[in-house]
Amino acid sequence: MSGQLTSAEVEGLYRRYGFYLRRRCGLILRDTALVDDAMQEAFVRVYKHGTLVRSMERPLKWLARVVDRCAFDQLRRGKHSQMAQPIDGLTDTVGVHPAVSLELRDGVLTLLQSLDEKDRQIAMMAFVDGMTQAEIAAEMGYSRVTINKKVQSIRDRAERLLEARA
Amino acid sequence: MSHHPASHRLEEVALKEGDAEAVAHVASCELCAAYVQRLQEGARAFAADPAMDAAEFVRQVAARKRVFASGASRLYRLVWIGAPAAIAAAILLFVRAPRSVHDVRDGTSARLTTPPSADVPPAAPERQSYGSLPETRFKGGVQLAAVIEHGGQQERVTREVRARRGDRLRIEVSIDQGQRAIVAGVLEKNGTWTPLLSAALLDAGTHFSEQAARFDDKPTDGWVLAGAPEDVERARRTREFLGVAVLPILASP
Repeated sequence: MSGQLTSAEVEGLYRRYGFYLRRRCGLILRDTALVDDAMQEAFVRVYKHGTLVRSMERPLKWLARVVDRCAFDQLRRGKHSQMAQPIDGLTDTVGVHPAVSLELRDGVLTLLQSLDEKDRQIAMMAFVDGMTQAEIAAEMGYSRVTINKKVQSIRDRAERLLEARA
Repeated sequence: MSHHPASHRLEEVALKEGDAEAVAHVASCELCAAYVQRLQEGARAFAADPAMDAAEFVRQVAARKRVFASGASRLYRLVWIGAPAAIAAAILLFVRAPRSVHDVRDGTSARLTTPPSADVPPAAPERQSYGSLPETRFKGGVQLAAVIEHGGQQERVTREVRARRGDRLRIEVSIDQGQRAIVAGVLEKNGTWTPLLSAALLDAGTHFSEQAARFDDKPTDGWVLAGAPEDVERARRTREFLGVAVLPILASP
């Protein structure tokens, strides 16, 4: 079997996981055109990893990381400009993860552009995905102490941002 | 921070592919059950939205893919070059001429300085991590960077590596503190594993791979993995790269 996915396979992945991935991308970028671009770029990469994707029973998490990378790339390329849509205009019918505060999530998403790539990933895991610090540490390869410090730092920045807005 | 399953696990429950623990949690947690229900409603609305047509999306992706790809399907392979790696300073300089072409397969140690036995060229190593690498020590696990030489110019990269024909590369492995048992190598998309750094107990600081590698005419996409031997072994087996540092290799024309 080819190392690349077929168009039919990619279409199947998009039908099944597209909503979840596009929603995630939208939380990061908050701009339809940027989301379209990042999603396309993500699936260009997905095309190339047929062997890997076919080997996974539950590829959603891996796909989400690919989308994260492409969305972060968009953030980096657009660093000269403000996000097209303010966080208040974010239309997310699903709402926040049960372990996450809406206000804090939106604060973190607002400052996402100012973080470096590792901290962006950690911010997403902690304040969007509701992952525990142990889970984040395992995925990122950091100690729990380090993750605790980084999460606290991101939380402090988000809270200062929210206070300033209030 | 949370006793609720992480979002991807709840999304998997919404997709009917959740793990047993997450499914059981959702069955007993009103908050998570409501969240899953909203996800499912959102997914249904997405599927019914003509603007989100999957076939059209794939056409757009395929068009984009054609723009960025050059020529036919590219199979990239990496050819090992002999490169003794005894002195750290010397490792910064790439060996200009390969001493051997050597097939390094899973389970065998990389012996790049041995005479050519090259029946099959091995995969090239390349490495990428989630972000920029500090120049010195840092806290938090293992960090990776690749030093790639193309056309006589060297470039240090900490993100995805564009593998081109004839490029040579080494990797840097940085350890935050203490001593750690580290192994590193290249996992090709076809499953071939090529060790770059044999299992070794490394002190805190930055270390360079034992071997340099050169991409031959047909490099392949893949990943460079580094981490504790058991984590790397698990990542190779499951393709779940949790707990290991990863640098994707993207073949370029």
